Order: sequence, then C-alpha cells, then structure tokens
Amino acid sequence: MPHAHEDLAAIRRLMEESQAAAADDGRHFLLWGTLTALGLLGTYAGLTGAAAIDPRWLWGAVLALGWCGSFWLGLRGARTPRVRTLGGRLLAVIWIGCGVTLSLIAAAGLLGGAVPPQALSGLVSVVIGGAFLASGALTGQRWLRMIAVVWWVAGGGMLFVPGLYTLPLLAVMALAFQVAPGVVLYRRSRRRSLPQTV
Amino acid sequence: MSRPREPLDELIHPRIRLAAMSILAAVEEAEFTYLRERTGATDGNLGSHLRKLEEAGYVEAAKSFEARKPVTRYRLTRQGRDAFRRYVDQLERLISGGG
Repeated sequence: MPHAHEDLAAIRRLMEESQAAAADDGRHFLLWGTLTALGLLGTYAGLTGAAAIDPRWLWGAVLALGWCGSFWLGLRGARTPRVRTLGGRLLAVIWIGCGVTLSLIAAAGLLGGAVPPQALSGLVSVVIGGAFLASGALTGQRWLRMIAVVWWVAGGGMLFVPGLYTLPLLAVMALAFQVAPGVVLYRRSRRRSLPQTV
Repeated sequence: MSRPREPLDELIHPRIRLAAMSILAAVEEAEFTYLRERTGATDGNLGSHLRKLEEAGYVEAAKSFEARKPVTRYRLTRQGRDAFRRYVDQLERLISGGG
C-alpha cells in the first residue's frame, strides 16, 4: 500500500493537533499575568512610599477584575465551536484550583495573620510552578514544564530570602513567564483555528 | 507461515472519514464545524461521510442548541474506537512489512 506512511503521518498529526486544540489558548495567562504584575508593582510603590496605594484595596481590585475577566473568557470559550478532551477539562480545573488557592493565600496574607506577607511572593511562585507543570504534562508541551522549574527555583529563593525585592521580581516573572507564554499559546491557538485540508 | 493479510476497513479508509476518525480518536467529542475546519470538507460531503460512520455504529451524534444555534457534536463509540485502533495497527504492520 503506497500511501500507508502518509496516512499514518496524517493520522498522528490530526490527533496531536486535536489534543492541542483543547489546551489553554493563553488568554487567561495574559489576563492574570498582566493584572498580577500591575498589582505587584503597585504594592511595591505603596510599600516604598513612592505612591499612596493601599495594597488591600489594590489586590481586592486585582482579584475582582481577574475573576470577572476569567468568568467572561470562560463564557466566551463555552460558545466557541471546539473540541472537548479530558486533558482540556483537567487543565481548566487545575488552573481554577490554582487561582482559588492563590486568591485565598493573598487574602490571608493581606487581611489575616496566618500567612506572613513576606512569604506571599514565594508561595505564589511555587503554586504557579505546580500549575505550569500540570499544563506541560497534560498538553505534552515540554517548554511549559521548563517554565514550572523556573517558577519553583525563583519561589524557593524568595521563600528562603524574603524581602521587598521579591515584589518587582515577581512582577517581572509574571510578565516573562506567564504573559509571554500566554502570547505564544494564543498565537498557536489562532494558527490552529485556521481551516486545513487533509 | 505468516498470517494472511487482513483487508483495511473500507468504512474508515476514505480520506475524509479517516481524518474525522483520527480527530475523534484524540478527543472526547468534537463539533461538526471543527471537523469541517480540520478536514477541509464541505458541509454536504462531511455530513454524508459522518452519516456512513454513524450507520456503521462507529460514531454517534448529539444535537443541541447553543445561543439559539443548532450544534452537532460527534464522538467515537467503543466500536468505532476499536475499529480505528485495528486500522492503525494494520497500517503500522504494512509499513513494518509484517502485514
């Protein structure tokens, strides 16, 4: 059969692309990465006296905007013609769980007394690292797993050596390792949505 | 003595059907519009191929309305998954020369 090679290659390509189609399209990364970076820089400005910003109000606004935005994106996504995979559903659950965990940690750090504020940056970083590892494993994208390692290494460092410097550092990390991957994922999802022929 | 070569499943073999089955094998379910985009087939052509797969019991369709628009989702049945796996195994055997 002369076309067996081509047929098998086409089958594999279609299967891989369809699995990837259910992966995150990066829009949530763009939203949360940008908001987090702004929140961190605002907090740094408030704590150093560079601006009259109350971190509690700032993070209240960041979290409210983030969750409203996520809800809106979720509604839009639910109406978009797509495919459904178990991996895609797991991924959504993992990132929602990560978001709720981080929101609770942030609230406890800013309003309660159970989480020391100086540990917040490190904790946020290691939790995000876990979610990136799951994303990389479920979507088969090795580079996302490498990003998980970066978040963990930085988070470990921030937990062992806490300080105000962690705020701008985490803001830069949010831009470099959440917003930038979000751009990559978004571009890939746009390319995938173009019609193709078999 | 080698086993006699099993013929490839003629129901899966046509290109559009093979593409649709490949996509559905990788996911839980896919909308008609997604299958159309990925296969590059026309509505009528894809619809007739999917109907054949449905009649064979390889795929099942579920129709619903979302935002007042009709949406048809397809998924592979267990029988369809088994048939697809057999088809891919046969192709691999052909390539390795064991078919």
